[in-house]
Amino acid sequence: MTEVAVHDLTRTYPGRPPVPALRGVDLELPSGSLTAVLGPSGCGKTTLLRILAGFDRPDGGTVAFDGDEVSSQTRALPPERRRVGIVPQEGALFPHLDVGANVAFGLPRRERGRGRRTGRVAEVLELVGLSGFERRRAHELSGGQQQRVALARALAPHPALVLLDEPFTALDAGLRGTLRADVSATLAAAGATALLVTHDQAEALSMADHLAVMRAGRIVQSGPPADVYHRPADVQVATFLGEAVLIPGRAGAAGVTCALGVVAVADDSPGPASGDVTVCLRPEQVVRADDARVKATVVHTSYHGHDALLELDVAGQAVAARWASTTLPHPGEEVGVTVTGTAVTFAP
Amino acid sequence: MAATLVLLPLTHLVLRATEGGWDAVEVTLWRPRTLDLVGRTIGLALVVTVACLVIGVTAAWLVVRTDLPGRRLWQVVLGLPLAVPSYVAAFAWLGWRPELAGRTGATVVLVSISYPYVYLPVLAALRRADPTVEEVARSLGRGPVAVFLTVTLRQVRVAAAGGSLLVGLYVLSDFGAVSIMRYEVLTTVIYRSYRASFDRTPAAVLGCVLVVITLLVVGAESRVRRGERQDRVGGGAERPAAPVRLGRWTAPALAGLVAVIAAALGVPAQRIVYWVQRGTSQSDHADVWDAAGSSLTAASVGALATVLVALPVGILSARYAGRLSRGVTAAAYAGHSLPGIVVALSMVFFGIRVLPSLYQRLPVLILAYVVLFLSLAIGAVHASIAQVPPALDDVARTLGRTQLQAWREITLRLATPGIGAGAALVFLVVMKELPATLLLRPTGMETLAVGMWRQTSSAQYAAAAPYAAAIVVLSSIPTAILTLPGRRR
Repeated sequence: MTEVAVHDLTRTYPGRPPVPALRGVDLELPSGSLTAVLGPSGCGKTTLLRILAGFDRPDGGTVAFDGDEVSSQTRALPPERRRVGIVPQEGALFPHLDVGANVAFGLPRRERGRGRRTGRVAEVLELVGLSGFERRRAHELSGGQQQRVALARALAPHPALVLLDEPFTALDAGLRGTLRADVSATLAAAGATALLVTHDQAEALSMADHLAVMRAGRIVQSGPPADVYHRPADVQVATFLGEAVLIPGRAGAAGVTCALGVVAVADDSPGPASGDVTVCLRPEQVVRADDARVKATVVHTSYHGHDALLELDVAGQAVAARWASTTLPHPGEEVGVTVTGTAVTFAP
Repeated sequence: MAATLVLLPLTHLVLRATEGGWDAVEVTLWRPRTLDLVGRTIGLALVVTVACLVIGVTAAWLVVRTDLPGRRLWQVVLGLPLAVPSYVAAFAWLGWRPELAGRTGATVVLVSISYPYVYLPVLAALRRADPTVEEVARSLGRGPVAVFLTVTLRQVRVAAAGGSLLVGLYVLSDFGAVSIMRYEVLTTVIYRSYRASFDRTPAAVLGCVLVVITLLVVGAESRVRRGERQDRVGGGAERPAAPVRLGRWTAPALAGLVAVIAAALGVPAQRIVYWVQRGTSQSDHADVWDAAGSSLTAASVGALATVLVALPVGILSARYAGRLSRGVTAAAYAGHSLPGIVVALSMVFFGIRVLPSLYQRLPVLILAYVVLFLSLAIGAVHASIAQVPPALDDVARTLGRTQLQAWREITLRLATPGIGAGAALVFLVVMKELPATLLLRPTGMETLAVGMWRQTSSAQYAAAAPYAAAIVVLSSIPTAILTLPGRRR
């Protein structure tokens, strides 16, 4: 188990004009945790991962594993001496080796030989649920299986840190869900400190113990996934993490007054304590209550099977709501709505 | 280093040409004979290129877009003449129809073996082209002929231009066919004036003239290419076009293709068999065996050396795209477009000045092969390295390998089959190469190509036949390696 500390990391790619990829990134990866760095493409998350792996060198700042500096402007421990395991986007299994040899690739020479099917290789293959797959070749595996082998290969030499670079993007949606759960479980079982880099908010929210949102080379917010989701630091984070209701309101001592009535405000909300604000809610906080005072007209429903996303008109404001799909109102119908939980406010 | 390898000898050619001062250059340059030669060279190149363009495009269209009987077989067979060395074809034609000697013979031979340079890329382009575009054109009111002229031809324009460039360069640099057909063009005169006189200035000057013509052709082609983009708009699945019905044109089309193949493959095959049967006693078997040995040595060493030089360049261009690697690659390609006789001549001057002890020894010959065929090997190395995802290397690094170990265990290991195919290709072209070998071969060494050329130029057709047969047999080995589908692991 290793604790990883990233401090004030900067990296600018030369060119005309120079391209700043990291502009001072601070990040703590607690020992044994899975941290997700979430950001749109081009935000610098891949650069961060490459510096952590030792493929790239920062222009400033440091990376330390358990207090030992491994990356700085002057010094970079080469990748082969960092004990970092990496699971790339499409698995990148060595096509000329079978599954067993792929997994054994990072083991010390004496463990790589004949006895490999009984030792560590079998152990990690069992961990990823692919016992007995040693003699298969990469092209005989499905995409999900390839990713599992890539994970086993990364875990086999007991790495200090496991880096997952958008490992599920190439897979179809159905497979992604199961694999996410399996991978988090495997990482937890292995006790590895792990960093997941992704642009998929569902992936980040469902897998991570700790979530860091990255934008334009900076970490704009970090914390437990639920905190970041429900108390986003700004409008962009709010919309990036999922559907958001954003309506004008007026802050006061009792809460914020808006089209949805008076709503309680979260303690550490970034908006001003009084005056005009932007109110931010999640659609699932807007619930149906037929006897409520606030009335809404259904404008449009988009049906998703398990639930539906409704577009409501509340006193001229567009409000989104996510309701269970069992009893849905029709467009044009008037329903009563109320808000559960607290809202976050931003400066307008 | 690879770039210097190509450019250094060329510099020496220019130096040697201008050594006697500009007066001497001008004397050679403005002789009516020189102008006549330039005219003949360009004229031959033009006629052959136009003929190849017509044959190549028509043949490709027939086998891809019509209901021609047996078109799958035709697709393959029509590409085969590329493997016939020009001097073998010329030898066969001259043996069969001696009255063709001269311009007609040279034209027929060169067209028959170089039309695949147009045919193959146009074939590929037609297969790739989106037939929907043609259907849309039909639905917008154009007739089939108008669609062929305005849409189909347009889609293959770049491929046809690239192919024509190759034909043009091939004809400009050809030495075997024209010398056997006794049609004087720049290459043959350069060779003769180099051999015949002590004053080598004319040879050097004419060499420079040939280089200038070559560069002009390359420049003209890149103008056609520039600004021409073939984008496949939309992501629809590729699907074959509905074939055009030939109807009563089927018989003439078939007859045309049969005639092309008969000229390109039938005549050489029939002639070699005929002479081998008739005149086995005419040549010394020991000589042929010796020549085969020399050819194998030259081709193996040449292929090995070329691939070794190509490795760093190919790796550089595949992994670290930048101005430097682009420049080096461009220089290597320049070497490939230079006529063999010019490269050989440059090597002679370079050898005499810089490495007199190596002149007319194997290393200089090998060096000439490297210059001539480096770009082929670079292409193979580049392609095979580029198809190995860099992520594999990264993964190997994180699993405890150093950069060098990762390269050896992963990238090179995976690229080996492709690089091997590149070596086989260079082996093949070195085996067939004539002018540079003729000029630079070590004293007493005779390869199959040289042996055959010598016998043919003294009209000993029966004696030349075993050499021709041996070349065909030996060339078929690397050709088989190259064309058989590689075993996938």
